[in-house]
Amino acid sequence: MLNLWTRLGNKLRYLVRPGRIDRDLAEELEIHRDMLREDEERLGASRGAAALLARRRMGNTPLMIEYSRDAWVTRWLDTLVRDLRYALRSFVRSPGFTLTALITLALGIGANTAIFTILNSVLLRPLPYADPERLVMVWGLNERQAAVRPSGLIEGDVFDIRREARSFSQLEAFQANLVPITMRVGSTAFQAQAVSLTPGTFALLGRQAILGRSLQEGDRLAIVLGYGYWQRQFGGDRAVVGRQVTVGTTPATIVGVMPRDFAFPYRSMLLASVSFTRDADVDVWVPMTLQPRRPNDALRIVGAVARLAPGVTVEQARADVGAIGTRLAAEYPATNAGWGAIVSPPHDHVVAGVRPVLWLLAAGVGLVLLMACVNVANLLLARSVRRQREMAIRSAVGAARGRLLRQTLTESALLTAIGAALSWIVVEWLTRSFVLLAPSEIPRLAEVSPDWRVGIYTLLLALVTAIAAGWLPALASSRVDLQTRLTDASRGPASTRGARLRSLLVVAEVTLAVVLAFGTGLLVRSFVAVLNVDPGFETSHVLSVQVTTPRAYGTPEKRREFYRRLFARLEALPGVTAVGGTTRLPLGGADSNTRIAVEGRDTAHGAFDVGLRRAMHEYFTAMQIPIVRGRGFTAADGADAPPVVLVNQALAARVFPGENPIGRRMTLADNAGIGTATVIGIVGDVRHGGLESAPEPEVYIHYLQNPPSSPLIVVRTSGNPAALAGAVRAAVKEVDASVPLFDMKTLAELRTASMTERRFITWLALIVGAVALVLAMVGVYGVMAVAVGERTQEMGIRIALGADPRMLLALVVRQGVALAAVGIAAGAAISLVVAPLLATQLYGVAPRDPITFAGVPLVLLAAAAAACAIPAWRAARVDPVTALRN
Amino acid sequence: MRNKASISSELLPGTLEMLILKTLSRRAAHGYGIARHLEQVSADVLQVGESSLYPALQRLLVNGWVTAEWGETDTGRRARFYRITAAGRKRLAAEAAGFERVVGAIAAIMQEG
Repeated sequence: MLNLWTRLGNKLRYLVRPGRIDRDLAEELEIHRDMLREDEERLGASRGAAALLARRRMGNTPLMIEYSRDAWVTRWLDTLVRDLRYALRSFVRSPGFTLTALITLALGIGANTAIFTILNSVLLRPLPYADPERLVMVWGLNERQAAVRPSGLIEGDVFDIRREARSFSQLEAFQANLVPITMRVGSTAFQAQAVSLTPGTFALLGRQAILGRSLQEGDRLAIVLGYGYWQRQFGGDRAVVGRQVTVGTTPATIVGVMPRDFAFPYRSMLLASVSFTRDADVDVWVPMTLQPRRPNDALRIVGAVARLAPGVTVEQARADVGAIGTRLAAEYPATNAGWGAIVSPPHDHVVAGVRPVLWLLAAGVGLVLLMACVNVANLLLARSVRRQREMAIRSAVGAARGRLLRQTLTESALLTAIGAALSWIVVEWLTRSFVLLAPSEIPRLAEVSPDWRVGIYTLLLALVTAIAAGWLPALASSRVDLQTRLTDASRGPASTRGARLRSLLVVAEVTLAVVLAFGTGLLVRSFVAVLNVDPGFETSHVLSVQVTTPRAYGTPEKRREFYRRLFARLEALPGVTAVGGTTRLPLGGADSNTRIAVEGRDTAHGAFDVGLRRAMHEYFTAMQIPIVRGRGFTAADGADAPPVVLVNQALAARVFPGENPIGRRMTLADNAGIGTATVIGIVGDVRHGGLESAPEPEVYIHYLQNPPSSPLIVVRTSGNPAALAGAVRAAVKEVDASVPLFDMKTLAELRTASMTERRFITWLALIVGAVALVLAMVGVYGVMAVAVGERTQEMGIRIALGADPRMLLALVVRQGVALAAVGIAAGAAISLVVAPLLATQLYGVAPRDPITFAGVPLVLLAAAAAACAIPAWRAARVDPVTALRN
Repeated sequence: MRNKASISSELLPGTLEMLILKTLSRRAAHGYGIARHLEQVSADVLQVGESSLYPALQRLLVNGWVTAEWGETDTGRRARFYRITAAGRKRLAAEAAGFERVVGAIAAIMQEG
């Protein structure tokens, strides 16, 4: 064992300084010869004879040095160095081939590494908390709902679970909503997205502030800033810690700033899936105090995060919390009937939604890399045909077959190694663009960074690529038929076997391209389907803006009066046709829920959790949401009038199947603020959760009966809504200059923004599909170009014999297209089988969509024909004289 | 590789290394000196070709059984002297034991009949 190390060390020393040992040896041999000669002279030989004798005895000195070197250098290493040098020389000699192969490989490996970097950061790495495996989330679960989607808990539930659960060493609560707040520093007002949480959460998660401190037990009037907000609003000013601010109406102190990669709660832990908000976009953390149960509080907006007590498994915690949930449901049927409590690991919760997208994307770029391998293999093969004579000669002078095989593999390995090195430029660029352009639905983007896993992945990928691209060409080039090659390497119907192999590779490549093109086609079709979704309201010609009423409007009366004047002023603007307002805009805006109990039914069958919406003034007219039955709200439905509600069609169908809901009475939970109300009409369904999610049951209350304090005003105009922005701003200022405006946008913009994720996926699919198409075309082109090149003589003879050049053109195109057709058929067959894998990503289109299945083959056929154009044109243009002379 | 057999065909494989180590175990010597010593002691029965001597020396160097240093001969000429190391002595002992066993076995077979 010891000897092995000595030997290895000595050999390494030789590798570092080979010249020294060779020189020593040469000098030594010279001295040896001199000694021999002197001895011969002493024995009486003449000077010349002695020298001759000595030389003869020494024999072949260079060879001896060579053999001596064998002791130092392992043979394979020496061969490797030689092969590498040879490969490098041959790359320099054919720059076109080298460049094409390198770019293909760099892009292929780069795209895969980039996707893996993201996949690794988002899906594989644990969440950036201390000991994240021991953390769990606690949620509520509506047992009556078909889809298992966790929802929030009532604050009192969390209070009881925290007190009773034995499975946790610590449990902390947070409001699972981003709350827009107004923060005043001196005289400047900032808008911020706040999350309130129990102060112990930071200690539970084990993350420190990068500046100042995080929240601690007992904090009441302290707030902590998010890194992004600190940078944006305060320019990264370190003096911000300790500054006094007012949050809403409460004074508070900024005590610290959290690091950039800290996110809690993650976007997917929020109940209202707040669109256009990234994970790390919590601007401010505000302390909350967990209150015991209040009667009739049914608001399910609190989430909990907990650390498992030592030795407790997730399963045990699940049973523990589940039992408490069951007990609470029995004890408080008014608010908890049908509700349970569940425990789930936070990582699952965060990444579950994005997992299929990322894996599909990884599969897509994986296939692209496979195509790149096939292309490089084809290039190597085409080159090895040209080098067959060289290989044959080397084989004839005694190069072993394994040696030739190794040489070709070395070339593909060197190409891949350089390609992989170059790919890092692509990786950097691709990863950054992805993070920048990705929609907020993809979690943990702030945490994307390469690590050791990415390094190992790239190495493995390069190794696999080198073998995939090199083994076929290596096998083909090492199997040299000496006689035919030496006598005739460049003429005649050369290398039919090589040609067949190349054709096979191209067929495989087209097959892969077809599979990818089908995926792209289906996603593009889904995109179009989403574009055509009717959201239930008219998005054109509407401007929306959020107004926040200051403290002066503390009572409902004052707010009613303010809105009356505001709407009157806005209606007077030229071009304005209708003005209204609501508290939650449709299409992926924030959500808010309430619980209704239908009068005359028992709690088990009469209670439903539904969306709570507010309609202000002429909201339905401004949005063009139809009243399908009954009547809409009027000014007569005021504060002193009997409470009334409108329900949407989904609610009517769910709660009152086969009945007429109009005139029925229902009691709403406290958060609606109107008690028991009568249904006066049914309005059309609106896609509240986004274009791709079906309408949910919703109940609308009238703003005069519970005036909101921070509504979204919508203004319909006959002209361009964006042009109205200045006028609206001025109008609000006229009514009250102290009312701040936020977030002015047109509903058309809202609709566009709500499609960000769909658009992003479609773009990715288009890029992957386009690259696949180009690679397939390059493959077809390459094979046809080589085929035409090999048959130049034959073409010449045909033309000399009077063949029509157009026929030759058709011949080449026909061959290329026939090749592609085989691949297309195979690809279509495979796609039929694998298309359902894509089902979760599709919208409004079946996985085996006939239009896609008809269109993709046509596109591929056209592409194949186009790829044959240049070789075909070259074939038709062959000059018979030159062709025959060669 | 394929010529190695012919180079040392006069000797059993590995024997040359053992002989060199044995020579060096008495005192340090240069390549020429080793060759002459082996010829003289064996009364010219073992002709050690230079073409096998030097590769063998290199193998001994690589294995760390000998070291080499430039120095001067008695006649004041520059030469490279080889010296056996402790590891080399151990190796020599092992080789010698193995050699005696093999020679004994061969002798037994030859005397059989």
